[in-house]
Amino acid sequence: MVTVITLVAVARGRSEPVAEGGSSRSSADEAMERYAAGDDGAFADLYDVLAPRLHGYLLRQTRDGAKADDLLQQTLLHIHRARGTFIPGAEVMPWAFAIARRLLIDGTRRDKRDLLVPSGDDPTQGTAASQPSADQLVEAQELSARIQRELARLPERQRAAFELIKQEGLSLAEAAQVLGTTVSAVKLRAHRAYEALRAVLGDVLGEEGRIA
Amino acid sequence: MTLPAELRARVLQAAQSHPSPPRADVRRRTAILSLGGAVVAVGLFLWAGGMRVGQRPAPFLVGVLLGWLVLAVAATWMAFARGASMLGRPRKWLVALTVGAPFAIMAWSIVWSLLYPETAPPGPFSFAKTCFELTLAMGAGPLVAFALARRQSDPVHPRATGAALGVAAGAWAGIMVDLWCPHARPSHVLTGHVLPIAILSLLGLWIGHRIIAVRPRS
Repeated sequence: MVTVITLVAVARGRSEPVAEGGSSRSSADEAMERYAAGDDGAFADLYDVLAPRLHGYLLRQTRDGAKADDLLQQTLLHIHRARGTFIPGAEVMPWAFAIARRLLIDGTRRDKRDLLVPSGDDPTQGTAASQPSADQLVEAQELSARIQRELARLPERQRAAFELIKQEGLSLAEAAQVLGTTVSAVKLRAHRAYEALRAVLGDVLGEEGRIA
Repeated sequence: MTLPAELRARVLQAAQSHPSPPRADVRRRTAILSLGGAVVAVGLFLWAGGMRVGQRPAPFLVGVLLGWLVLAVAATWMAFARGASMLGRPRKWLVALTVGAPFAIMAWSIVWSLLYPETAPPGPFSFAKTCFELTLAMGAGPLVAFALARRQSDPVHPRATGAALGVAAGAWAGIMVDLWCPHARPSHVLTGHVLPIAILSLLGLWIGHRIIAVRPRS
C-alpha cells in the first residue's frame, strides 16, 4: 500500500519525497561517525536508522523478502567492514544506498533473474496504518502492479533516479552521488521518468484516485 | 515499517563476530601501504642509479619536474582522496583526469623542449624501452598501494577510480624517471614517460573492477 500511495501521490504532481525517515540523516551520520571513531555500540544505532529505509528500497526492488533481508545484511556488514574508511563529515545515507544498489545489481546479474517483474503480492502491504477493505486491497494491488510495470518499462537510468528521489526520499545531491552523476543529470532523468509515468498512468489516477 | 528482531540480531551478531578496524587503525594501515609503495618506487630509482642531470639546464629540469609534480599531486588528490563524499569524485572528473593527463604532461614537456631546444636534438623516432619499463615498474608499487588502500571502497564507479589511480601512480613514477633520464626528445618522452601512464591507467581500470569495486561476500 505504501508503494501505491507514494506513487499515486507522485504521479499526481506532489514533488516532495514521501519516504519514511527523511529526517534521519543527521542521526545516521552521527552514529556512523561514532562507529568510525571506535564506538562499537554505535552499530546498533546505525542499524536502527539505516535498516528500515534500506530494507524498504531493497524490498521494492527485489519483491522478495528473503532476498531483501540478505542484501540488507550484506550492505550493513559492508558498512561495518569499511567503518574505518568513513570520511569525517561525510553523509552515510548516499553511501549506504550506493552499496545496497551495487550489491543488488551484482546479485541480479548473478541470479540471471529479472527482479523488477512484479508479482501478484505487494510485500510492503500491511505497513499502512489503516486496514483497507478487501476490494480496496485488490484495487491497490492491481494499481501497484500496473505502476510497477510502467516503472519497469522506463530506461534503467530514469527509473533509478526516480526511485531514489521519489520513493526513497533522497535529495537530488544524494541521488546524484549514489548514481555517480551530476545533480542536473539526475534531475533531468527523474523528470523524464515522472513525465512518462504521468502520461501513462494519468487515466488510472483519474479513476482510481480514491485509493490514495 | 518494523523489521524482524531476528534480522537485527543476526546482523549485529555477524558484525560482532568479525570485528573491523576503526578509523585510527585504517589510517595507520594506509600510511604503511603508502610508505611501502613509495619505498618500492624510490628503491627502484636508486637501484637504477639515482638522479642524472645530463645536459639539462636547471630551469628546464625544475620546470618539467614541476609539471609532473602538479599532475601527481592533483591526480592523487582527485583519485585517492575522496573529498567530502564516501562515493568519491564525480565520474566526469576521473575520466577527464585519465584522458587528459597524458596529453597535458606531453604538451608540458614539448613546451619546455621548445623553450630549451638544446635539450631535444633532432633525431629519428625511437622507442624508449628502458624508460618505458622503469616507469611501469616504479608506478606498480604506488598503484598496488593505492589499490589495497581503496580495496572494496567504490560502489559507484570503481573502474574510473582505478584508472585515475593508475594515472596518479604513473605521475609519481614519472617524477623519478624524469630525474633519472637526461633525454627530452618528444618521441622519447612520449614512449618512455607518457605511454606508461596510459598503460598504468588501463591496468588501474582492471584493478578497479577486480579490487576497488564493492562486491558481495559469500
